[in-house]
Amino acid sequence: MRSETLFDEDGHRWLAFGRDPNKRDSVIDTNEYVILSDGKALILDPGGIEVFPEVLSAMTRHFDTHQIEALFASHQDPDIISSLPMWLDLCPGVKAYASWLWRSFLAHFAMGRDADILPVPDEGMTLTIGPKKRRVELIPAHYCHSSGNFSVWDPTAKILFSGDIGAALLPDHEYNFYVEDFAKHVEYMRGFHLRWMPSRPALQSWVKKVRALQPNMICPQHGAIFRGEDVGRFLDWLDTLEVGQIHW
Amino acid sequence: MLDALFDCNRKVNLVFGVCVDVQNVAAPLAGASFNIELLAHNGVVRAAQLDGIAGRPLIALTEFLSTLPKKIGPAVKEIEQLCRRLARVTADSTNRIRVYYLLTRALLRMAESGLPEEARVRLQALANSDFTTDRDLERLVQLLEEHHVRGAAVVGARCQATLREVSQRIDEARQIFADIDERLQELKTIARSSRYLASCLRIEVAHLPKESDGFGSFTAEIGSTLDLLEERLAELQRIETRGEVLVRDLAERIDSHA
Ligand SMILES: [Fe+2]
Ligand SMILES: [Fe+2]
Repeated sequence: MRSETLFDEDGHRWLAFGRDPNKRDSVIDTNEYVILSDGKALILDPGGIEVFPEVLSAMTRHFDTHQIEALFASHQDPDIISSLPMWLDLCPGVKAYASWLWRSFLAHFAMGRDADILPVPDEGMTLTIGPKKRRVELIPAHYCHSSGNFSVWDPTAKILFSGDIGAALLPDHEYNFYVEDFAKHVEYMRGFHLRWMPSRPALQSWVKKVRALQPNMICPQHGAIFRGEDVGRFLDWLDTLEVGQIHW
Repeated sequence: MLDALFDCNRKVNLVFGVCVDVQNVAAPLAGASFNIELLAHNGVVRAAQLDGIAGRPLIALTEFLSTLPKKIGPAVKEIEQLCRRLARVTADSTNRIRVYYLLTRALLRMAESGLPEEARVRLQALANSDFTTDRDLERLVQLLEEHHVRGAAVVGARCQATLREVSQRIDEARQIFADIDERLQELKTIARSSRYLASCLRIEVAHLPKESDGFGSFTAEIGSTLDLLEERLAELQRIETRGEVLVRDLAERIDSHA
């Protein structure tokens, strides 16, 4: 599994993990992100149970498991958080944040540690990481894919973690961590968004909110990262996309 | 690489199947015992209708026979309770084996990416181990720690603790099977005593005058109900032995210093 440092300033880092060459083809490729702030880690969408060994092994190259302070699940899907019982088992005291809507659903694979799943209210909330208590905002993204869905905004790094928004199904694991040719990349995103995004108004409201934040990067859970000009291109593309349609 | 763990998990799942089979075969035993009780009560009434002292030994025997099935019900209930516990233990075991499998896979992945070239030969030899024992695991963790692979100690310790938990659950399953077997032997003793009483009854009935002929079919009915009971107990014993062999095999393979 490869990793990439997205941001590294003043003890505050963003790490991306993904593109596992050993992953079976039947398992959807995912990106896992870590915000490492003054030695404490927040894992964003820690991934499915199937990729847990690879994710854990890749992460321990950068930090120790006792540095993990919290986990965050953007929504309830298995590729997002079915590794939850493994992390809770391995890291005593770690808390997992997920929409209140999914808390009792996620309890089904918490193996008795459901008390450590903390509910995020619909309006979102602020999390702090590390001794300096750096703030990250959990921003509502309901019905942009899941009905209880959140993005993560880090004002220090000006990076937005978007979960399944901006997801792309890439052709192979050699693909760059960053989008290189936006026009071509759209082809890997379109199908995913048309089928997995149910609501255009919800997406448009999310786009408006995200534009106001002026992120330097948008990091999806599948596919490649948007940075620089591609951030605006992606938001424009999303704003006009007719999602939530299916022809039976 | 970790095929042995898959095989162990498959065996735990088979134990779960045994648990279901035991419950399925044990449940109708209560019905069979009720039939014997009913027949015996019937026998007591009929024997009381016989004239003079001829009926006395029959009353005594049928009365005694009617008390035996009462002991079957509680033993069957206990077996059902033991099976429920066994189902929980096996479900828990598969969960723990899965956790152990994923942690071991993580350790191997850490070794593949974190060990220097010169440690590869040792890793190669280790990677072919079963990882069903503490020894395999300790060797891998030791190799990782020698080369200061980050996280190896923590993940290794959790892995060892999980293997210990698996091993404890298998021991618990073994004990449950021993308890089921004990109840089964009690049931067999009851069946044997009932069979003995039924044969005494048959002898007594043979000495009855011709006019009390109805007793012939009564003893035949008791005999066939007992046949059914013994058949079921034999089936139960076969299933229980199958489960015992499975957990014994698991206990031999999954070896931790617990
Ligand atoms: Fe999803
Ligand atoms: Fe996803």
